[in-house]
Amino acid sequence: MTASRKVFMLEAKNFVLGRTVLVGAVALLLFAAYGFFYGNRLIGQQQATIDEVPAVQQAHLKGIVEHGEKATVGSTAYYPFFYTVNPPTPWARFAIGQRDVNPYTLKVKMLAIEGQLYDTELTNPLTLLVGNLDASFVFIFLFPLLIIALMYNALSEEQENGVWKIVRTTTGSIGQTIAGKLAIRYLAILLITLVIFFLSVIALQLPLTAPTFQLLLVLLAYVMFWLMVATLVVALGRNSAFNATTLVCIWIFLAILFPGIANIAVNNAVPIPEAAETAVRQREGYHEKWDLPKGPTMEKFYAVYPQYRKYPIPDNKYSPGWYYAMQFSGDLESAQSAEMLFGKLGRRQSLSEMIGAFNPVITAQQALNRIANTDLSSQVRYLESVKAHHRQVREYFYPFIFENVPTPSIDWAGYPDYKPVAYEAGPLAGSVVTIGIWGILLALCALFLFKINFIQINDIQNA
Amino acid sequence: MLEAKGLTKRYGSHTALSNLNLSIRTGEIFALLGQNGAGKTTTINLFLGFIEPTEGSASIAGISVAEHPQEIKQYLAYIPETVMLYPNLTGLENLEYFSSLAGFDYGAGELRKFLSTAGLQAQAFDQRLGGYSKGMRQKVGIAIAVAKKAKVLLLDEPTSGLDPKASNEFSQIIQTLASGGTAILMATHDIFRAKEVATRIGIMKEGVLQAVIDADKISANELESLYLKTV
Repeated sequence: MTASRKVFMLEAKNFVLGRTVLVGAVALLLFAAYGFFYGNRLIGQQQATIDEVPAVQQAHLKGIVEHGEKATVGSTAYYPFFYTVNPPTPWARFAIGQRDVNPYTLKVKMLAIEGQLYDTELTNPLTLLVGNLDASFVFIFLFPLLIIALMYNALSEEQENGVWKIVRTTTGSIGQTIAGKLAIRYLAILLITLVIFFLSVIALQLPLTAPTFQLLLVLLAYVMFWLMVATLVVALGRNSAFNATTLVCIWIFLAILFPGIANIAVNNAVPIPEAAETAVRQREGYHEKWDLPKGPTMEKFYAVYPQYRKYPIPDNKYSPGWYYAMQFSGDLESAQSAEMLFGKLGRRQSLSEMIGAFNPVITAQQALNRIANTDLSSQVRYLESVKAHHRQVREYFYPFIFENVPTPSIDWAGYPDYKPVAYEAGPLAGSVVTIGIWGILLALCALFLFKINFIQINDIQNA
Repeated sequence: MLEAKGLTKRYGSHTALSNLNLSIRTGEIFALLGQNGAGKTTTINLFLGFIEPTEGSASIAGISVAEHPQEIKQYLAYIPETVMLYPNLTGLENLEYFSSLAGFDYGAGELRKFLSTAGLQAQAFDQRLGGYSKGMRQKVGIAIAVAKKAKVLLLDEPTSGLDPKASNEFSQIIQTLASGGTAILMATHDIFRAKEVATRIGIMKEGVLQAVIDADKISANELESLYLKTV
């Protein structure tokens, strides 16, 4: 074994035998184990519910049809719910994202759609406050703390206990020695990252396909970013207490304050009154039609579905055709605000991503959610698919409604199947490049500071 | 082997060391006495190349420390007041680490011999340094200097905090090193240890070397009187 390899191995032994590594790794493993449990439980519960949907739908329709045996389709069609589901991707267990606050099943009636889209389950506010302790939380929020614990005293501890002066007078290259000490910490942290990630692959049953490796890529870039943050602070050449305080402050700012401020900024920059407005407009859109002549309502309907013009609609009494046309016109009247709502949701997402460019914590979290399809865009895609399915259902039943077909005469399960949204691989290179650029900038600054503070000695503390 | 010419270090308006002229020969032990802030550690730091002189020069084996800070490292070893080293490694591993860091590739037998030369008991070789006494750690520090084949040994308060027995052992070891041709500069508060071990003794006050005495030409009591009168 060469002398330099001996130095490296002994340095590694000294580092690994320190309690911090063991305690930090074990603590993180425990949190990770809970994260795996939590991700599996939450997504497992969602999947179990989703799995029950076909049977529930079948029983529900059967009950409705039995109950409406003597009525026409137009009357019976008021009652059934048509279920839609947003199945989790395999990676949702790793990064739950917004799946806990957004609905993963929506049951819609043939009535106006807009108001039904935003009927979500109430969420436990305590869960909202604390957030999800899933695997992505462990990596994004807790891993930086491990990095801080293992890096903050990388050189300062040796300066404080006096061994640094002996190292400095002994080594042939102080730069190489510093690089070696840092490299051991980098390797230890990267090893812990890989171990916990591979444990998550096993525990969360992540398939060995591209998205899993994308998760790993983002996490490695993210971990490297935090390693560079810690290296930069070490390169300042200050004492251990200063390094620890500074790093924890950076973590609080990047992981807690910045995202909070960014969220407020995004909400203020792109207010969304349309969500409530859409529901109100849609409700008003059809409620007022009860008191208005039926002709104009039907004309709006015929503009889209001219094939139903041939069916007579009495102007002085209730008819199912008119009722569903009225519901449809409610949607037409709220269409503009609905479109604006979705547009603004998209703008919020874009703005968040733009702000995220200044904070790799946000960038990494967004990237993980995007890979897992648990972000806002995925939810919007789901809502759009619900709208499409609602249209398919309506269009399946319209002919039976207008022709006043008796309830038992049709196949109530014959409407087109709901097709859940497929997995969509979002753009990822931008996120990794953004995190990488931050890492490189920090590394360059750290190199400069090492040269000033450790290689060319000005301060006896660092001598 | 060690030479200071008009060596001066100022921090702003404060002069930590003023116009030091000193030459220490091979095999000589030079003890610097003085109160805290007298300039002893500044002198050692200037020879180590940890700080740059404001004026004058420090050289080791004729090589300027300021101009060739890397080159002079091969000649010197340094033992601070408290040798901490790496607590999770054994004494043997610490020696292996530092000798390897200096570019030497010793086998386990050679490393054990160095530790024995430094006076460390064999049963302590494979114990973690975290459990060592201060005296034992100092011995590992000396073993590092021996393994490094240092021609110059710089000691900063090496016997501070050692019990009399450990201090005596330490004195014997550095005398052995000096007799082997090592030039030793030792900063200390311990007048009697300086008298016992040193070849020459310098007394410093407020950054100025006030007096240099041959140790064998003065008794311990006379040295103490001179020291008290000087500082």
